Amino acid sequence: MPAGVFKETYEGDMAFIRYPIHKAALVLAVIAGLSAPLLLDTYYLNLAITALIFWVAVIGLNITVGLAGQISLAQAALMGVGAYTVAFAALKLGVNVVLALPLAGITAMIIGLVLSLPSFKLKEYYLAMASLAAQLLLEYAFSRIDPDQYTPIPPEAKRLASIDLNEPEALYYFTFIVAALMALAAGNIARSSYGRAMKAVRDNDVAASIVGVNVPLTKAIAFGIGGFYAGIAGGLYAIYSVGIGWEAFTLVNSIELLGMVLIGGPGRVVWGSLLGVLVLRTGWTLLESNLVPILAAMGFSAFASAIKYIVLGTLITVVIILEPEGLIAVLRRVKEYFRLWPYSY
Amino acid sequence: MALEAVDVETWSNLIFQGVLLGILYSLIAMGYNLVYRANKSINFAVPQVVLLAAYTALITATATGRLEVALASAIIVSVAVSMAIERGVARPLLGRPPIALIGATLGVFYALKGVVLVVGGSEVAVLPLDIDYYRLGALTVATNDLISLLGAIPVLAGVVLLHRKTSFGAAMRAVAEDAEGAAAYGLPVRRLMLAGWALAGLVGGLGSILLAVKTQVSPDLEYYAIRALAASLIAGLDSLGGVLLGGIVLGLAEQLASKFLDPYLPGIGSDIAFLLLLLILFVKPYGFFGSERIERV
Amino acid sequence: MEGGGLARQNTLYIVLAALVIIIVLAGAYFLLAGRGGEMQEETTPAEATPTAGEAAPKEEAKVIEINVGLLVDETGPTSDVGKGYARGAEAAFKYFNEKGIYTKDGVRVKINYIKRDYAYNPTLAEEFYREFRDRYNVIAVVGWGTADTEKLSDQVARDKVVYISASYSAKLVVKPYNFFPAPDYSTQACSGLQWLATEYGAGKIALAYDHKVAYSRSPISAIKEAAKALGMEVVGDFDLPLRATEADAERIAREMKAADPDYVWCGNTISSCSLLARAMAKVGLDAVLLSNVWGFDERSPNLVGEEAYGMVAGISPFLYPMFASGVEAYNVIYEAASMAGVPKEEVTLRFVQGFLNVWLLVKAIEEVTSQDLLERKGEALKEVLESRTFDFGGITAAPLRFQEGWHVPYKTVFIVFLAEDGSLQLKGKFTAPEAIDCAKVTIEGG
Repeated sequence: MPAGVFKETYEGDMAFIRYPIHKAALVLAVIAGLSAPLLLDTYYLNLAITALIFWVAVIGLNITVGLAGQISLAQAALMGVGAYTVAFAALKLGVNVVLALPLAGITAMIIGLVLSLPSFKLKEYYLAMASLAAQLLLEYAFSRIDPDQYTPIPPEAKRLASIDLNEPEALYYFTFIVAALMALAAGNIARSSYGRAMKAVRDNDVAASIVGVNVPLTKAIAFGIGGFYAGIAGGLYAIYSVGIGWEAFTLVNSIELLGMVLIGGPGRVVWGSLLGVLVLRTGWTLLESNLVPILAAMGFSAFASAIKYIVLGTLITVVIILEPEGLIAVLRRVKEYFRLWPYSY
Repeated sequence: MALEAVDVETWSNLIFQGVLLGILYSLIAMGYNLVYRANKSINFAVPQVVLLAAYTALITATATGRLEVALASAIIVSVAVSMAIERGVARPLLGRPPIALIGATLGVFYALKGVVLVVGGSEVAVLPLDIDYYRLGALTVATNDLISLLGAIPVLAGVVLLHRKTSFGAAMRAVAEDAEGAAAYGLPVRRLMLAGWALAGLVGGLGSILLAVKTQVSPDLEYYAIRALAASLIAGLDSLGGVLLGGIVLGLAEQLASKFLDPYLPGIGSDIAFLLLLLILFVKPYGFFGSERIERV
Repeated sequence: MEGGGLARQNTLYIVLAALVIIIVLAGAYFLLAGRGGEMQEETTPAEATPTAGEAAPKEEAKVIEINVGLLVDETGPTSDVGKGYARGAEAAFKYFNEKGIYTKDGVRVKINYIKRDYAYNPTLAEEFYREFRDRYNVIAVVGWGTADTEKLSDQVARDKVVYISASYSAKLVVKPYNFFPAPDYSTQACSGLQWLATEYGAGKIALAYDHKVAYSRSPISAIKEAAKALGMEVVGDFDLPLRATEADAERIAREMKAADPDYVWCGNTISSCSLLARAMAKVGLDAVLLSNVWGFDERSPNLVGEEAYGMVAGISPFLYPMFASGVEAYNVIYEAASMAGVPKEEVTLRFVQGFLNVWLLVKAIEEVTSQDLLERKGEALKEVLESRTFDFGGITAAPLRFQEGWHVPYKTVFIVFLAEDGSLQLKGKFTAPEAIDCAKVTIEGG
């Protein structure tokens, strides 16, 4: 708890908005979020949409990994489950994508619950490997149900009542509302009894079980929620895309998602996840599209394509080593420095 | 009668190839296990180290035309990178929860992937080696089969013997058992950990070049190393001799699954490793030879 | 952290904070600055007054700038061939810009190409396509793989963007805005079968391809039909994964041997096709292995090994650079390569493939008027592509003629054979059998 901020009641300590910075961030985020379509052109609006989509997926992974301490390398595959649910519902059954979205969440949640089964017996590396195995098996399953390596999403299925979701602005607001609701829910999960049980399991599951936490149930809930978020994110991704292919949901993507959690701030479910996405995905996309041509022009064209891996990999490793709580902790320190100025030590 | 003969030939070769590939898997798997014993962590960067070593071998082999120079350079690179990861990543993270090590080595995986792309340019090539075929009864053995077999077995045996019979091995085992206890007895734990990683790099580098001799130098080699991780867990992460069995089980399972299941599930061969892994983890959570951990609060 | 940890920690935080701030600021900067890239028309004051009587092609030095997307795979699973392709395409853009591209009415065109590496991920390809379209307003894209090109084909038709791909999938020939300067995979395969029939006569053929991969499966139904028409017997479909291990290749070669084929079709890429060739020699399967265009190239002699010499061949719609002596048009490619700093021995088939895709686009631009290019953009290019014959002076196996709704420009391929002595031999040109339309078989077969 930052110095100088006092809680006088338990309600105050358990409130959804606990610190002034939350209030400020929330107001800024809502304003920025709502006004984005007025300020940005289509390209940047699309970047914002994908950022929101990945935010949802990373929030889910952050609940599984950061809050409950259950390592998962299968989040991208779970996104894939959601994406294919929406794609097939729209393509084969002609279901409207918006109606298929909750279904995507539920399907992925069920798979997520299945993935929680190994966690009852396994921990740490063995659990990481079980989820890695699940990731690769799901990739195999995708390649079987999607033999052309892409499944088109019919544009006529992308409607919400009379609103055409093929329009970037409409899709943006739709994604924004869904993502905001999901983030709100995630913030509340973190401070609910389930959230506290998850933290107890993360810190020491044997101790947690001794004080009466139902450990398997808590792990299952953590995986289930993580899966649900991944499914919704995958579903949104399908709505956004012309077509989806399983190459977007491979192990490398899972590693990236895990990187976003660890870089942003594990356990900092809402804002940490957003920071992770903004740095690793959106920030990088913007940087790359301008950096790579410069590098190529300088004659480093062999480097130019590979630079993404080198820079992002190094960034992930360095941040994990130097800053266990992720970049959001760095931001907090910066904020504290100025808040407590001139006595900022 | 003729059909019978064909069957014997098919089967003996299938099993031979499966076992041979399995032995190569166990070589890479041993790299994972050595690291786990030293540090209680999985080095997820191994697939890229394997690729880096293979491309180094290719470059030196093309430049000099000599396989032994290629072998030496591959092993040097692999050992150096492995030790660098220990010093730069694993050591600062000592005492941190496993997720930190998993994330950090995955980060290294990602960064090295970029390095491999720069160094190797995702070239597909073979190492310079004259391949002859020898027919031993029903078995057909090529020069590259022999090299990989004769290269892998002594190394696997050597590492196991080193661990069981020498005082250095005893010290390594002590660190694997209880690093703090070993330190209390005056063992140079940090140096031993580094030695564990270096040994892992040695085994991995050799494994990568034998794989390259057996097949090709290509970006696909990283998938061999990812599948070898399954062999490592099937055996149990802290077992050493067990990896041979883990690898062979995996190699055979791949060939048998491809032969019998492929008509129903095309391409299952390359993913059977993970199906097998999940099944085994459910039955034996710490692998066949891994020691179970007893947790205390 | 030991002593002095606090001070060191603070430095680290400052470094980290600086890093984050740089990324955020850079993002913000590009957000505000990167809004350019609209199609521009620049008119500079006339540099030289045309002398009377001279047939001056341009009255003023007017330059139209157009944007073209270049979507390549330099880091993904197909990057072993994708790198050469990207180099060829880039060399072509640079070369033609330097040489000068003029529309039909003599206005100079400068092509800004925007290169993106999508690592063979169709979803990423879509994101880059959106960038091309929304940020740079491209009028054409030079693309790469089968899945991504097929996926985007309906979208580019809606956006009226000409899309020239390195995938020669038969499903693309009916898409209005998709072009490639070669026969589709199915027609190529049928032409290859025609060679087998001509050279060796009818026989049994076994098919090896990855049953999971769209590219590998693409020509199979057409091959089966063509085999029937040529009196060949198909003796089996074998699942050879793109990422086959050597053990896989040997197992499949043995299974094939039991079926005793005279010919083997390999529909994968060079890695698994050469493993299969090696395995065939190992198990003593005496059959001719014919590979798809991506399964065989200059590296094959090295990859398949001596034992397989004299039994491996490849299909190519383009003349290999090694057989180019005496082909005038190849000088253009070599000139461009030297301009881009690519040594002559690195001008491979893949380089040529990339170069030709851009060259086709340039030839199309040269046939439209400047007004059309500015106003009707991709649509004008499409009309021109569908109404002219394009001749690459012998680099392609035949001149190109696209028809509206049917973009198979010709039906002939070159066959390159790996001889007993390890050298590559040009076996000549072969054309798909008249009796069946191979592209149609694939499209109707799904």
